[in-house]
Amino acid sequence: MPGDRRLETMLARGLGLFSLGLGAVQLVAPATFNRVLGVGKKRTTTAGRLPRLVTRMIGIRELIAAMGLLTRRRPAAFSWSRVTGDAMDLALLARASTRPDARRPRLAAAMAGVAALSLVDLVTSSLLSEATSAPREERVGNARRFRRAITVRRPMDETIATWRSRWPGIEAPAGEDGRYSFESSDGVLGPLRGTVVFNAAPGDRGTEIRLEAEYEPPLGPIGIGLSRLSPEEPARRADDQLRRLKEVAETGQEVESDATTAGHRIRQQSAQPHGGQ
Amino acid sequence: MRAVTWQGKNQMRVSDVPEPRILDDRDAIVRVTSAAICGSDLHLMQGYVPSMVPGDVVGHEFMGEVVDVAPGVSNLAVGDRIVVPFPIACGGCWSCAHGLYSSCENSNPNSWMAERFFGHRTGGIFGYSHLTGGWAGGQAEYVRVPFADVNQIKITDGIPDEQVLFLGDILPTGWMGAEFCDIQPGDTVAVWGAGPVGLLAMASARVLGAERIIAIDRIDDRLAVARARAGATDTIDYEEVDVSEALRDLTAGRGPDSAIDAVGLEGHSAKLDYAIDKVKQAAKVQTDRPIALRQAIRNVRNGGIVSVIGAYGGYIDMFPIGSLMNRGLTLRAGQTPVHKYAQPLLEKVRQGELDPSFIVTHRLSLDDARRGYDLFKDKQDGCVKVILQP
Repeated sequence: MPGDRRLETMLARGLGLFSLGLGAVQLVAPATFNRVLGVGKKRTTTAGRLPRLVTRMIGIRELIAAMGLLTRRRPAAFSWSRVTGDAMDLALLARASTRPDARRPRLAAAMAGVAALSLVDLVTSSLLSEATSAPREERVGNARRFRRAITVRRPMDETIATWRSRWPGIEAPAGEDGRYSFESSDGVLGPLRGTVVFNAAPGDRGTEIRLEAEYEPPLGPIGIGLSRLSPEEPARRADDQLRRLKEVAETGQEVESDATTAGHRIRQQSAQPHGGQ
Repeated sequence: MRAVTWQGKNQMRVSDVPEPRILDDRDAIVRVTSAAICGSDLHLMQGYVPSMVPGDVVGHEFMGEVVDVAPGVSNLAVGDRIVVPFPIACGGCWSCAHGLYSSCENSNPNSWMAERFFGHRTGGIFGYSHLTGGWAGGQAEYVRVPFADVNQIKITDGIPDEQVLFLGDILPTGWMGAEFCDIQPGDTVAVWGAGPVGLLAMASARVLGAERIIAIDRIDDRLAVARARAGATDTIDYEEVDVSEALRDLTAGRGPDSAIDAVGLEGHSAKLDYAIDKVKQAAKVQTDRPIALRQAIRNVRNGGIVSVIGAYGGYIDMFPIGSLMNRGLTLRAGQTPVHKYAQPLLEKVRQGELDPSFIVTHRLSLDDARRGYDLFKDKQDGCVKVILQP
C-alpha cells in the first residue's frame, strides 16, 4: 500500500512552479535577470553576451525540470536534476562575482538563496526517491518504514536460533508461528521497532527472513529526507546485518576479505588481524 | 613479502607488502609456487574494471604449498600442494550447493556493490577489485585462502605445475565454453580469440568431438599455435579477410553450429565498428566493446549456440537481439564454477587426454612481473601465456 504522498506532491509542484517562473524570466529577459542578480551592467558589449546566453540555457534547463516536476507521476529524476542544477548555479555565480562589473553584495545574496534552495531540493528529491522505492521503503507520516528480506539455506528452527544467538535482546515472540516483534533503542536515528517473520522457503531453499521496521527520525519528513542519505541509515544497516546473519548461518563465520578487515584497502590487510570488531 | 600490486591505470608494480595471516577458522595460507597472468588481469591493469584501489594485490591463477591451516579445515595439511580456484566459494549457500560456485552468496563481502552493478550479488574472486570482494591476489609469495576446505584442488602426485596450474581458471573456462556448445558429431565450432582461454576451448572442443574447429584472431603466432597444438582445423585472420565471408565459405553457407566468444570486453576489428565502439567506450555510453560477441551471434547457424566465456564487465551497445531472437539462438555465459570441473579435468590431465601446458610461452620471476604484463598486453615475442614464479 503506497503511503500518503501529499507532502511529496506538494513539494514537487511548488518547485515545479518555481522552475517554471524562473525559467520563463531567464529565457525571455536574460539581461534584466542578470542585472537584478548583479552579474553585470554592460548590456550590449561582447562581454555581456555570454552571460545572457548562459542565462538562457539555464532557463531552458529550468523549463525542462518544471515540465517533469509538474507532469510526471514519479518526478524524482527531475527533482535530482534541480540538485545538480543548484551546484552548477553556485559555481556560475561564484565565477560571475570575479567579473569587474559584478555587484558582489547582490551576487552573495543570490548565492545564499541558491544554497538555501538546494537544501529544499535535496530533501524533496530524497523524499520523492523514497516514494519510488515502494514497496521496500516508504514514509508513513513522520515515520520511515522499510522492508528487507533474505533467504538462508538452513532449516527454520536453526535459522531462528542463529538469529537469537546474535540479537538476544531485540526479539520477543508475538504469539504467531515464526513471527517476532522487536524494539531497539540503539538506533542512531531514533528507536527502531518492527517485526521479523521466518517462513520455510520453497523446495530446498531454506528459510526466508522478512523484516519490517520503522523509526521516526528527528525533524519529521525533513529528517526522513536527510536520513535516507546517511550511511548509518537503519535500512542499510539491516541489509548488512541480514547478510552477516546469512554468512554465519551458512558458513559458520562472518566473512572478512583482506580489504574488509580494515576498511577499504586490500593491501594485504590479512596481515593485520581484526581486533576492533 | 613481494607481491604484484595495481598502482593505477597501466601501472603494475612489484611491491613489498606484509605477509598474510590466518584470520578465520576456515583459512589456509599458501606459499605460491606458480602464478599466471590472465587476460582479465589486462582488463584490470588498463582500468576497465571498476573499484580498484591503488595498492591492491592482484592475481587469481595460482598454486602452491600449504604452509598454515586453520583448525576448521580438516581436509588440508601443511605441506599439501594445491591449485586454488579463482572464484571463492563458501560451500554452504544455495548457489554452491547447486554447482554455481562462482555465484557464491557469501564470499563477497562487498556484494552490495555487485548487487547495484549486476542486479544481484556475485561471489568473491582473488585479486580482482573490490566489486568482487577486495581479496588479496595470488601474484605474491603468500596468499590467504578463505574457505580453504572448499577452495582447493589437491595435487597428490608429482605432475609439474605447468600442467595443473590452469585447473584453477582457464582450463575449466575453456572446457565450459566447449561444453556449452553441446557438440554433436559433425559439428563445426568457431572460436573468437586464440588467446589462452580460446586455445584451451579449442583443445576442449577437440576432446568433446568437434569435427571442425575454426580459430579467429589477428596474431599469426597465436593462429599457428591454434593449428599446431589446439586442434584448430582452420584459421581466420580477421585483419586479412572478412570473418562472415570466410565462415560462409568454410561451412558451405550453413554457418558454424556453435560460436565461442573467448575475447570479451576489449574486442578489436579491422572495420569501422572498432572505432565506433572505442568512442562509445570513451564517452561512457558503454563499458565494453562487444565486437566478438556481435560477430559470434550474427555468424552462428540458425538455432545455434553462442557460448560467452570472454570476460565482460558492464554494459554494451548495439546488441544484435534481432538476430538472436529471429534465428532462435541460445546464449550461454558464465564465470566458470571451477570447483565443479576441477576433478574430472584433473583426471583428463593425468590421463594425458588434455595437456594445457602448450600455451605457456614465458616463465618469469615474480620480480619481472611488469615485463610479463607488457609482453602479454602487446603480444610481443610470441607471448601467449606468462607464468610467474615467486
